[in-house]
Order: sequence, then structure tokens, then C-alpha cells
Amino acid sequence: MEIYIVHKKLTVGPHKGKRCFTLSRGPRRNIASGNLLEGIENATTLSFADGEMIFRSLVEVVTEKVSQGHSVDLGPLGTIKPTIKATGVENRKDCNAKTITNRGVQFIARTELNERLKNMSLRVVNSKVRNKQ
Amino acid sequence: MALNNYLTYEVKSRKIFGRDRWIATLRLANRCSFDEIAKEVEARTSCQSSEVEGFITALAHEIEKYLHMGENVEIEGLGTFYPKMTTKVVDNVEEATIKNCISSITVGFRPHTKLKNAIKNAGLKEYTKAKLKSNDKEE
Repeated sequence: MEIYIVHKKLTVGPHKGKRCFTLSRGPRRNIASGNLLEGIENATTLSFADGEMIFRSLVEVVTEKVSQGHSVDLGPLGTIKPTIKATGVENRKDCNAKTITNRGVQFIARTELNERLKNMSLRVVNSKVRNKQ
Repeated sequence: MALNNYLTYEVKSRKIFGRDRWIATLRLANRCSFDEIAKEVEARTSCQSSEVEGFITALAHEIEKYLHMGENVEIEGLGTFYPKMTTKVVDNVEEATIKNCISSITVGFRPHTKLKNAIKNAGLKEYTKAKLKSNDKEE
């Protein structure tokens, strides 16, 4: 993966306003489902149309299961589950659905996938950035 | 959205900033295994569950391939997977090396609006423990 040295101004924390250097991912593309399906077509015996059909049904099933409160195991990819955020209240009788402030989705990647990503090769592209200070 | 789409929450007592508080926590339903998902997809398509399992495995490999290239992978209706980098800042450009600045790289996920809306539109139900009837009590 190509990474870039960036010179940025900190916007939060005790050093707010200070200019520092850090590394960041460069300009990135959004890979759409079509690209994935082409790769899957080459790797398996499934046709593009079959892949598209499975893809659509898979998204449908995952959405349905997650919105029913299930955590969904996606095999080598990881697990998707719903989450909630709520505010604590002093009295038991005041604790109801209204105290739930946000609902979201959490994805937990499989350990092996995270491990492989941790060991990926990285390359600093713009190593000639000068200190402007 | 189907009527049985609801999330169950349980009210628990927790210590929040040293104070005793009551808070709603999510009570997850049964975990859907990889096999169950494959069978569910099989029922909706003309493909075998083994083919679905093969598809998901190939999909995971494809996603991983693009993550290694530093790209975002967008799955319509589900969300976007991306390589998430946690970095540190340094004062000088000479110190800005991979060893000094990158503390971790993991898989990040941003859920798609459709998935978020499905969860937001799901109902909420409080979990209550089933009470024993007076006849069922042991004497």
C-alpha cells in the first residue's frame, strides 16, 4: 500500500493548532461490486449472473438478520452485529427505549484477516516533503 | 420492514463515572452461523449452499486483495470496507517513518445508509425475564 507523509495542523488535543507530520493513505479508489464479481467469476465456477444473484440475496439476508438483532458470521471476513448507544438514568422506571440515543452496526474483522493486513507491505511515496516551519 | 424486525434491550445497573445508573444494553439474538447464512441464501436463489459458501470465501479474498492495495471496497446495501490506519504525529519530517508513525492497521467498516436505516426502523422491545406462575413453583 502506498502511503504519504502529510504536514497537518492538529485540531484537537493539548497540542491543538500545532503543525505536525504524520503518515496517511493517499488518494484512494472506491472499488464497486462489479469489480469484485469479475474476480469471483474467475476464482469460482459461478457465472457473473449467478454471482450477482447471490450477492443481492446475501446483502438482503444480512440486512434482515442484523435488523432482527442477530450477529451474523460472514466466515473468513468477520462478524457484523447491531449496536446501541444509550444514556444512563438514575431511576429504573425512567430507563426505557427513549434513553437509546443511537443505533448502529459494528463489523469485527476476523483475527487472521487483521493479522495479514498488519503484515502488509507499505511504501512511503512522497518522502521529500520539507519541514515548512 | 417486516414486523418481526426488532432489537431487544435489557435494562442493567452500571457504574457510570462512579455513580450507580440504569442503562439500556442490547441483547443480541442467536448468532447466525456461516452455514445458516449460506442456507438462507440458498433458499432465495437457485444456487447450492456450498456454492454460496464458496462465493463468500472468494468475496473475502477479493476484498482482502483490494485492502492490501489501499483501496476502499464498497458493497452496495452493506457498507464500505477500508484499511484503517492508526497513526501518531511527529515534529520533524525525518521522524515520519512507518516505524514511528503507524501504530496499527486494521479493517475499517462504514455501514451503508440502507443497512443503517434498516436498523433505525427496527422496533425496540424490552427484555423481561419469564416469571414462574404460582402453580409452577416447587413446594
